[in-house]
Amino acid sequence: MKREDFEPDDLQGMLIAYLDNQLVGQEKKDFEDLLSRHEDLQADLEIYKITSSKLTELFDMDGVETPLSVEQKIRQASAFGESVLQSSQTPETERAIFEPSEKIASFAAAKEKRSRFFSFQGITQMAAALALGVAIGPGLMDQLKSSDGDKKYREALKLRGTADLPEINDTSAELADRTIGVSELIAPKTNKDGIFIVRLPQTDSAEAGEASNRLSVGEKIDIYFYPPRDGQVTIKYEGFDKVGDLQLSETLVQETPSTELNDRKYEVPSFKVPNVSKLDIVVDISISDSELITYEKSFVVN
Amino acid sequence: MLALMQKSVHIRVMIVSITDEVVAIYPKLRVLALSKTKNLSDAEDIVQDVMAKVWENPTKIEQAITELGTSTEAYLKRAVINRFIDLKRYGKRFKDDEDFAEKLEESVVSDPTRRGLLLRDFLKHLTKIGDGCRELLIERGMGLKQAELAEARNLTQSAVNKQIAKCLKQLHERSGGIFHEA
Repeated sequence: MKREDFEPDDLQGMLIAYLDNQLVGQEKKDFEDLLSRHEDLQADLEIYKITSSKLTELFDMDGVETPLSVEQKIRQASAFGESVLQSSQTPETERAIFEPSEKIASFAAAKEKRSRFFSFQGITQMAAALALGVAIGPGLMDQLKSSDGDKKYREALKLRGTADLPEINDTSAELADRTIGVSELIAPKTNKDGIFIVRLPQTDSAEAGEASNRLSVGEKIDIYFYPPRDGQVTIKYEGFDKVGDLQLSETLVQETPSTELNDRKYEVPSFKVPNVSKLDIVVDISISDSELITYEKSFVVN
Repeated sequence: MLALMQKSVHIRVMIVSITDEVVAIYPKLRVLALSKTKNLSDAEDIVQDVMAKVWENPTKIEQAITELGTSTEAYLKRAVINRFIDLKRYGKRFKDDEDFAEKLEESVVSDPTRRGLLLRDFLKHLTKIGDGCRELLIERGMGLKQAELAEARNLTQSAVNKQIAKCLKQLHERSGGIFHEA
């Protein structure tokens, strides 16, 4: 390995690779040999080593603790998450043991049922529910009763003031500049109309635009929206895996809608949900060079 | 019945373990988000979003962590970065806090000794070397792997290495090599 074979920048990059143990085998030996012949490279390596170790020390954040108020909120949310999870694991038969209509035929049966009621799981659930009730009080319990599934998580996790959070169907113009937390069901940026999805076969109750943000892999869906004005339409599908990496990016349609279309309703050909964890659908309507309307909608794919 | 009890115990153990880890790592997630948004409120929103995802389905998160062969800490850090990227992609604009540097200092260093003061000084220089370098070095300091740094920036690993070298040198020169003499 000769120094002249490399650009100076490449050599510096190799120093980092060497420092982080990315060089192995013969390549590592050759580089060490090169290093031993050049003191300036050794000095650079020393700078990188010390500066890197200080950065690690700095961001190890030794002694920095989570504020108690935040910790309490996290534990409340955790207890709530657990109670939901635990109850979802309990079969119907377990949940309905002491229904009034049930007849206990023998003492042995009654004893068995009592022991089932006082099972470890039952006690765990009761303890979790009790702890949750005591810890968070009636105010938060009211929030948890909300019919909006995502909102209850957001409320339970409120680490700071969220009084100004917009509702998910908030149509204010500044919506794009505000975080709406986990329940980004639909986020039209400039118009109250959005993207609507009908599952096939069509049923009135299955409109995802109304209530659901969940789709299933392989499910066939119809998509439609109401363009407020004519323009060039681009529809983009983006699929992400569990950790949020982009797995699919596809632009399906590019054409100009006509006002003669069924009351300006613009329909996209049926689409099969791909094998991803999250699917984003973005519709851009380009009115002119300076005017662009964007609809976005995110779906969790099961 | 036994299977049910085992399942219940498993859920309990998993929740307790994730909760403890989340509580421990919260300050780091907040700093990681702050280094990217330069706005404390937005940073806290990002961390909150990530945590909401955790409690939405902890079993799924545990499964993903096992499948990826990573740690909860690494997974959550990655989730914070991904959430930031998502928000940017959705057109979210972050307004810099005027006292961003002070907020970062307060969030990172609690040690009042001389060493703590030196680290604080070092951090001050880090906030002045440009957004790209600051973000890159903070993520590296937080233990993110080269492959992750490269992926988040659409770069090759060797390109990221070159950038790291450049940024480290810049930080060293700016800080006057305080730790070389210390």
